[in-house]
This record gives sequence, C-alpha cells and structure tokens, in this order.
Amino acid sequence: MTRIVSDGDALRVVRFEAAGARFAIEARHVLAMRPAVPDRELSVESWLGLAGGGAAGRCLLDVSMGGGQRLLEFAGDVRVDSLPAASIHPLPVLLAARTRLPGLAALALDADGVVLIIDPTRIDPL
Amino acid sequence: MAEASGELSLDRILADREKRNGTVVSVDEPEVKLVVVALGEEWFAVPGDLVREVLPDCPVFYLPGCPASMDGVINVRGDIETVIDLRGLLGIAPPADRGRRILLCEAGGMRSGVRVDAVEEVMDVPQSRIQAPPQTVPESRRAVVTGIMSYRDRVVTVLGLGRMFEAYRAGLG
Repeated sequence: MTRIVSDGDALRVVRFEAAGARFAIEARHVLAMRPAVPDRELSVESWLGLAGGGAAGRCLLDVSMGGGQRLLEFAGDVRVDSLPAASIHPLPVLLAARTRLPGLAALALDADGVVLIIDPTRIDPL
Repeated sequence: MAEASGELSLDRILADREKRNGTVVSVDEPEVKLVVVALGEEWFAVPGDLVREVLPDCPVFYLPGCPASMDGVINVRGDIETVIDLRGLLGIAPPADRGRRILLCEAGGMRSGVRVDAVEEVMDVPQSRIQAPPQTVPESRRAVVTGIMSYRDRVVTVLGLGRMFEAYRAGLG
C-alpha cells in the first residue's frame, strides 16, 4: 500500500553547489562517496551542462543514473541532509518546458532560497 | 404643421448635436477589463481577469539553465512561481533599471509571474474599442498580439496571455 506523505516527513538528500546555485540529489541514488583524484572523473558541472567548477576540496560520488552508474566529481561543501517534504514543489509548467538543465525534477524552498533537485535516473550516463 | 424637408426642428437640432458629440456607447455593449502596462515607451495591455495580483518587486531566485527571458522563480506565500521578463519575451531591449512590477497571471492552465516596467492603469473598455492587430505587428509578436486600441493618445497593444504562455512554452523568447 502506498504511504501517504505527511508534512513532518523529510527527504534524505545529498546537497552540493555548482555554478553558484544550490542542488540536491536524493541520497538513495548516491552509492558511495570518497576523495577525488583531480581531473580524473567527470565534474558535476560538466554533467549538468554548467560552466565552472573549482579544483579545491573535491570529492567523488558514485551516482546511480538511468541505465547504470558513474563517478562524478564535486567541489566544495557536499553533505547529506534532509529536505522537509512540505518544502518540495513540482516544477512550474513553463520552467519544466524551458529548462535546459538535465534531470531537473523539483524545487525546494528554504530560508536561503531555492534548492534545485536533480533526478539522476533521468540522465543518461555519459 | 408637417415638417418640410430641410426645415429646422428641435428633433433635428438634437440629432445633429448627438452626432457632433461622438459615438454613443451602448450600456449593453460587453466590456473587457484590461491591465495596461509600460515597457519603456511602449504600452501593452493584458486581460485583467487573468491577472491574479500585482506583486511589488520581490526577491527572484536565479536558476541556471533557463532562457534569458526567464528571470527565475519567486516565493508567493509558500508557492513557487516562475517570472518571465515581458521585454525578453517580446524582443524589447532591457532597460537600465529592471522592471519593478510582477503581474501574477494565470491562463491556459499555466501560471507565472510576468515582469513589466510599470502598471499604468486598470480599466474596463467596450470590446469595440479593441481593433484587430494591424499587418505591421512584428513577426516575433504576431502569435501573442490579439488587438490594438488607443488610450491617452497612445497605441496600446493588447496581448493574449493564454497565447503568450503557450508560445513561451513552445520556445518564444
């Protein structure tokens, strides 16, 4: 039987930043996390088609995607967190139609603004 | 005495006066509510019944990967709404100062904020005042212009919000 989502529920996510915006991936899609060897793996910015990406403090996440899994390189603060279910919204119609961000599935509102929630299973591994 | 052709009479004087005073508007003529907005020197109007509210300038959260004509999203009492820049959608150059008003509009099952420079007027006008769009409407706007009217010695271009959202969804702007 499908469980009803209540306001007190929260979604476990891995949060990160890229190209000046805040992102999250559902934690269940992240299989492992480890320190990165610079420039050996695909950066998250390249994966999402965004510019930039620093070299300092990068780590690797093993992420399950549509049709497989792959290692992605992240910079800066990458952490496991929870997003309250009540803060998560479906994409507005016009945004869903016009975004070029692969895998963008939902938005969450918090005190600091908007978090973009990416569904990696909607993105083919490169 | 019967009124001879061309002879002056009270009825004739009143009829003539009415003609000079201009067209009499029938009270039964259907009216439409319009919100008139400015984009620099150009004025546009959108159907007022599709404008949910006029928001003051509020924080807009930038989203990467969107067209330049989409400013981002806003938080409207806990709901997320997109904000489209009407200048960007209509191909009008950006101003030195960003538009300060956001119209929250709903049409064709879609809802979005629409950024404009200023709201000039909210008014009811007889439907007959709105004329069909002329052939001179730029190609890029034809899909969204539903008519024109004259107001305060200006030409006001009337936009169809449903058409506009549909065209935007399909890639306009």
